[in-house]
Amino acid sequence: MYEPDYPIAEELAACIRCNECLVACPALATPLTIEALNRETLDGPVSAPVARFGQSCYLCGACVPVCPVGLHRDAMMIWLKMRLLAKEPLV
Amino acid sequence: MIEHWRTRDDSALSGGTSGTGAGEERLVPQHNSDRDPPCHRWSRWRLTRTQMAIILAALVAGAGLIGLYALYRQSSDVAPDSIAGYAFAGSGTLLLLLTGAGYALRKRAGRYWPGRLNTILAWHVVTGLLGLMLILMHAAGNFNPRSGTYALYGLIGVVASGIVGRILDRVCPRLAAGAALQAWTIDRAVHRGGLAEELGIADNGGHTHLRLLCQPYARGVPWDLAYYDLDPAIEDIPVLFIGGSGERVAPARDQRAGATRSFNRPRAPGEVMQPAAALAATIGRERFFLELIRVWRRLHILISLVALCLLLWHLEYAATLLL
Amino acid sequence: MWPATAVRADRIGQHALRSGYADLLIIGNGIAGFIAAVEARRYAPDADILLVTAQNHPTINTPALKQFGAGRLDVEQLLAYPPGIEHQLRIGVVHLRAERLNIFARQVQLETGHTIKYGRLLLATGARPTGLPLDCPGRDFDGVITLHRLADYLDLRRRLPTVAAAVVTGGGYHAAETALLLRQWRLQVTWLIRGRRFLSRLLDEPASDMLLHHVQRLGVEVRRETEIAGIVGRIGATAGVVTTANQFIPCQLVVACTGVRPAVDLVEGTGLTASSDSCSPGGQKREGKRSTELSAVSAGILVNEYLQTAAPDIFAAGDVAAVPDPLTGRHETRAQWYAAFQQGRLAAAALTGAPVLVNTATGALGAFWHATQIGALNVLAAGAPMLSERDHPDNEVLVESSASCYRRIVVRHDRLIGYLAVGYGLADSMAIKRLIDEQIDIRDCKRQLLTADFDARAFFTKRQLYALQAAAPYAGRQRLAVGF
Repeated sequence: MYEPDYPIAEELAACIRCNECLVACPALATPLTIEALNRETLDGPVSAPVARFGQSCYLCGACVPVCPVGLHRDAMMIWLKMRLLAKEPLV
Repeated sequence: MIEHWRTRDDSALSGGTSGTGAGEERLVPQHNSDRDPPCHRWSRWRLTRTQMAIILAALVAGAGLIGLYALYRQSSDVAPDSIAGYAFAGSGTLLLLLTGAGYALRKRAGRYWPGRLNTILAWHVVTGLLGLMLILMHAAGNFNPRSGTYALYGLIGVVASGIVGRILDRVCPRLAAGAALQAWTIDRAVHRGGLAEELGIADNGGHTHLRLLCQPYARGVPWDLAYYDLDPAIEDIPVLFIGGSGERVAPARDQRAGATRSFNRPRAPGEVMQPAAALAATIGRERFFLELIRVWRRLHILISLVALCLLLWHLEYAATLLL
Repeated sequence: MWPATAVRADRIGQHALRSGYADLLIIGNGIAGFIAAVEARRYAPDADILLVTAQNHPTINTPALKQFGAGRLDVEQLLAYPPGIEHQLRIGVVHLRAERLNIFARQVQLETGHTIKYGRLLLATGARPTGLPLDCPGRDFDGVITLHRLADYLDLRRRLPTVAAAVVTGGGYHAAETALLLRQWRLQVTWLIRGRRFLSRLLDEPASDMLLHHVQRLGVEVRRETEIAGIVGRIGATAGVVTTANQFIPCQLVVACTGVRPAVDLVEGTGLTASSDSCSPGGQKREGKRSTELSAVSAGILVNEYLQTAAPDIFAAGDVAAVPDPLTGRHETRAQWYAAFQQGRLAAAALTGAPVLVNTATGALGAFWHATQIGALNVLAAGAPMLSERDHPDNEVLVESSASCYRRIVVRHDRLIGYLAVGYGLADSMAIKRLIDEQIDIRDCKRQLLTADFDARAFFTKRQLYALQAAAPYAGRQRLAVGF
């Protein structure tokens, strides 16, 4: 799923915040807003609920076919996971 | 006035912020580790209230079943075809069918909201385990009838594959993310090392980094290399200072890129092959872990179907006994 | 002069009104304006940033309004940012309408008479719905609404329990989405489209037909080449619609989704909008003086690829900005969420002089891109999909059509310049945009782009790996076994 030069910022900007991916997600236990997820996926501090979601996501891909704009929420989640694992900022 | 904030952030002028260098300037705000609190790292697993409630319900139900089974074992008629045995079989079968069908139809049952599918998955796991318990109670240690034994083995296989699947769901994404992070690190190292430029690989997709010279700031800025780059290529210097009207300016070089650009420096074959091979290997590893999750999920469904067939076979056998 | 208590501004806004100055003045708190304010704060931590808006609520996610209209989202979920973010980032907000712009004095006058001088100005005034024609009989009956802002959707939600049938008029995405939104509430919906085609500027006939058939299968009655001739009322409330085909359609709700036009009132007379010689976004010139006004109004505020207008230190972003399309060469407004988001971020960099990431092939904003879903059909349009061999002799148009999918690509010198896909499966939409923006050679994947076989991730990864490999200074090429 990793793609060199993956345009994470562009994908997050294109997200229309319709929440369909969160609704389709079987790993999401604690409700969180799509805005918070998008913001914290890209850079800056990651709050506890988003970190837990980033950890519990098991990349099943259910979020991808429901996206009306054709974005890859699974790739964005990989990016969030990378940020949680990385010792220094990625961007 | 404007000027006072213009000079506070000279890094914006020089093009290197957050240590990423001009080669990676982006249109998104830079992470400012001095201001922002640290990231939440990979945290320990924490249960939500709904999950705790489901686990509690499962423990209570499980304890109840164990108690019931203890009483049952003390009775005089302990057999799969006793009244209690049939009761355990019937309830266990119903519960297991509900487990499978309920999860398969989860998305068709009306409106759903964020978190509902997670709750349904938790119930799927719990009802599957309780159903297995009921069937074991029905078996009561008897494994003679062939169809019943195979049906039980099938059921155990389903539950075991489900448990392994959940473990893989917990472990594989982290391993995949680790591989992805390694791939990203290699990729960035290739770009930072200038190798990408030498090879003509599009850095950030062929973007060049232009400076929006807002006219009042460009005019009056001295022709001092310290405002741009202390070590530019000779051919870039005239272009650096032809500006002030929004014309394109050569990008500032990444000062952390090590030695100055040297297109003519010969490279050993391994030096070029290594990043490509390493990148391919890490990406391949990432794909493997992701594929493992998907393959196991399909395997779980396949085993469930096989177990269903074995169950139907056993029910047919049981029907011949009853009728 | 308005009484002090009527001036709606927070503490920072009040201070700005008193001082009469802001380093960065942003007119409009749509997503473009607000993103510009938020991002500008990061680039310029000490600047005075003031947001002036006539809107009485914070910035919302406008694409999510249709979800809200369908009852799938609560109103709290529409907020684009957490409550209080303006205060947290020290962005002053003034809820007043900007009425006059004086370029030479570098000041903006508000409806209360306050004037604010600016260091830099961003015009993000958005767009205004066109609505029904002024001479449409019955347009002022209760039950006739124009869906555009949050207040309109709130009004719609309140009315729905009393409505059994509705008429939607318009020929764009918004009209289609609204018709389907109303169908979700089990209303009888009739959709009137003026032209023969749906979204005639962006879709060709097969794509348009496919979408319209799909919408019809979902229960919407579609009438093409039909408009509203007049609205019939009954004691002040809508009772039905008479169409240009002389038919009467009973309904209790009439929804006008007839498009938007850039809100350029503030810059009228300044020369910042399109001249009479420029084309409207549809590329069609119109006749007479009225056509000049229409061209100027519909074309928005002309900007270059860095969102700079002709006036010094004035920028424009969002629905109101007419940006240059790198593929067609025309200035066009892009009234889409993603474009507004992008432009907001670019505007922040422009306002503060921060560095900008630019693609040399297609400029700072890249090619046009829009992806949406109409019912169960996904629609993706990127670049200039309606270009043909007539526009350039080297253009090559490839089409693939089936019952479930329609794809049209325009290629020039093995570079993708236009892409249109309508169907149940969705192409990798951002990857398509990247192919166009970076003008990547697609000769090896041209056919895959027409089908559902194009794996963007594998394509870009292999491209990187082969490029790394290609410079190996030894004889012969060893292809890496890339295991995916």
